[in-house]
Amino acid sequence: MTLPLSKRVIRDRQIVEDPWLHLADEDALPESGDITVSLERWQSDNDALKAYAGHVGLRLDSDTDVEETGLAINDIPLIVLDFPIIDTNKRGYHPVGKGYSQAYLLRTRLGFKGEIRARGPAVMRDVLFYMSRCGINSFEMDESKDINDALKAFNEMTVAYQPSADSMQPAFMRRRNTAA
Amino acid sequence: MYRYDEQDRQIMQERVAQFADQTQRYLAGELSEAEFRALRLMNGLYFQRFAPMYRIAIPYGMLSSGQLRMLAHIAHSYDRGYGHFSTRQNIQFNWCKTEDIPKIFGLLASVEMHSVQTSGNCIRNTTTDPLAGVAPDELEDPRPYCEFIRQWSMFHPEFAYLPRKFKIAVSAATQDRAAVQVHDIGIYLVQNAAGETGFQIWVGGGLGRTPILATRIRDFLEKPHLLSYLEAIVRVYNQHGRRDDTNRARIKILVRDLGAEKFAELVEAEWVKIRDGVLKLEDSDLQRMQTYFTTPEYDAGAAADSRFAAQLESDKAFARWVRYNVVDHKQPGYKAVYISLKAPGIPPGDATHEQMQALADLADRYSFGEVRSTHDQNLVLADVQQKDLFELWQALEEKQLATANIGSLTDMICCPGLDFCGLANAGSIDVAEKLNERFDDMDYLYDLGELRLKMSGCMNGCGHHSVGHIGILGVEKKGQEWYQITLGGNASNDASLGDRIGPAFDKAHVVDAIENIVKVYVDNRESEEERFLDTYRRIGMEPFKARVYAQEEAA
Repeated sequence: MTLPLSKRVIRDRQIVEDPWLHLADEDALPESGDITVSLERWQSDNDALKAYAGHVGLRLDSDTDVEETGLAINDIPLIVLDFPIIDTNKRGYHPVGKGYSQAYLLRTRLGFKGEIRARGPAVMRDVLFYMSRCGINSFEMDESKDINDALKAFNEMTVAYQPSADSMQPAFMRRRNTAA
Repeated sequence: MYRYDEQDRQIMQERVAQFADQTQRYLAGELSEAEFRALRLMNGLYFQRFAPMYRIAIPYGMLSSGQLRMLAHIAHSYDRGYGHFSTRQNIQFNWCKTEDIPKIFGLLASVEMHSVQTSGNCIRNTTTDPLAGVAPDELEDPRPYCEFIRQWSMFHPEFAYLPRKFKIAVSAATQDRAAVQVHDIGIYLVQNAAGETGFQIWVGGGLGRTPILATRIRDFLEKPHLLSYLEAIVRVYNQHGRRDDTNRARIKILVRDLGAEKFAELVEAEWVKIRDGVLKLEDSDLQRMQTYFTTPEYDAGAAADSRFAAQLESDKAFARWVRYNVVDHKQPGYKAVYISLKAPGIPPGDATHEQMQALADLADRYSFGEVRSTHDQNLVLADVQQKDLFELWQALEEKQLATANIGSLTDMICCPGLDFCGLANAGSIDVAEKLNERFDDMDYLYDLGELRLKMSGCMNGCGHHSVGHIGILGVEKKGQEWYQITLGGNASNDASLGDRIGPAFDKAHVVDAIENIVKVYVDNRESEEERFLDTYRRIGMEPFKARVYAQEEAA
């Protein structure tokens, strides 16, 4: 089944129309347009994807070790990370946080410059700031969530205690400058 | 102690505003119960049996008198007049209203406190030795490193949704008073052959359903690498830890499943990639942090006092309190004083707002305005002159804070149990009370010497039962409260997990069982100096088992 076009996403802290179509593994390639595919399809269908007219983005599930994909990662325009919620032992809502490390490693270790997108049920206003600190710059949220409201997330915190994949200088480094 | 600078204040104010907004959106129906759950937990707010429970961090147990007064105010104005000190050196309130929480958080921020990451699947409050900075057996003050960890772990964007909660403890003394080996990461300050101080790193300890002691994965880590090494451990855990089963999600299971050696390899492989990066601390960073934890202005003539010796001689009750609750200090003429929160008839760890107020005043008068909380749910005044001890004792007596039982059987660790907690299977406070009644003969209690009794109301083990010399675990069987007893646990340097004695006891018999266990010890110890734990280790389980179940059958 082809997933519907998401209408709008947040990219670089702005709401934009989303051109990407998330193609399921069993779906035929469309005539044109930008698509994303799973890592399995990326590997098994590589020739066809290379010949494809539009841009092709890569979807990774949260178990993928981003340092071990063996792909020329910087040739990819978009990497979509999955943020599922699991109901472990029926004890309720348990957001899976592996994507934060995946994004951090893509940015800082693999030098990935393209778009990193967070997608899945755990993507909501209150986690966007942490996600953006880890290097995620686009956000695809469930339609039930208020995308305009979510934009507020980026301005809630202006000081960071630790370095991550963003440009915020951690407090302990800022103190070095003030003490000098 | 550490004081906030402009950056700390800013970050905390922003967090208060953020949480106020989240709470407001929840109350307005914009955030679902499920969505709000992860957010409120990360702010210490639990919804439980009767009312929300609000847990406030006491970073590595350090409180100023002003902060303690604020806690007293919160207890008085927003709760039912008391608070409960936890085994994470934190304090929790059981009767606050959800809509009041943002306001209380704001009050906390005004005195440089917070409730951030006191729950949730994230890095929790770092704990340490309650005698940090004053213990004679200490290599170096561990608190600057605790504060580095506090800042690094707080609002860490990558580690907010770990597989499970994550706890770190640091100890710098010969005697481990911080239960380091039952933590996800345990850190001992040690000296290498060259005489430099650094860190020895242990991982994978934890209590709960599957208690496991930590394994040492690095003998010596140089100081500048503290944060990068911790980051490497937590990153490996975040990537490889199990999330499919809550009971197998702690790092201890990952370390066990991979083997400590393999786990250490993964950590080292990650660490070499970041060790010389931005997390590397400079000498100036370390020095700046140390300036917050300088030695107070001790009276150099304090040891010349002769009153203390005379008072010890003339007042038996005072001498007894000194013997149990007062310990040596690195500064001549000074002592560290344990304030027992285990008075008979009071749930272990509870303190009223009047007691908190009084303690804040006493801290100002006698101990440089500072109080510490301990992981065994007591408080400490760490810098008291020996000449002041008698007056302090009298003042504490007035407030029911001078119970002379530190380290004894009635100084038990105990979780809130079925009376408050949504997870508990059995009551623990009422059993604690019955034990207090049974062991009310203080002379007998003193004769028993050091005996660490720890009790949890469910498998989650908040009462650390697995590492009690005697451990009691509440379980539910067919709607009834039952209690499993373990012997031989220990949370200090030679840490060990307790062994189960046999079938569980019902509420009517658990106290008898404990009494019988204690009698077996008294009958078998080689001398009065041999502690319960040592006797158990020498004679084994059989004599205890025989006595306890013989009595059961006869009953």
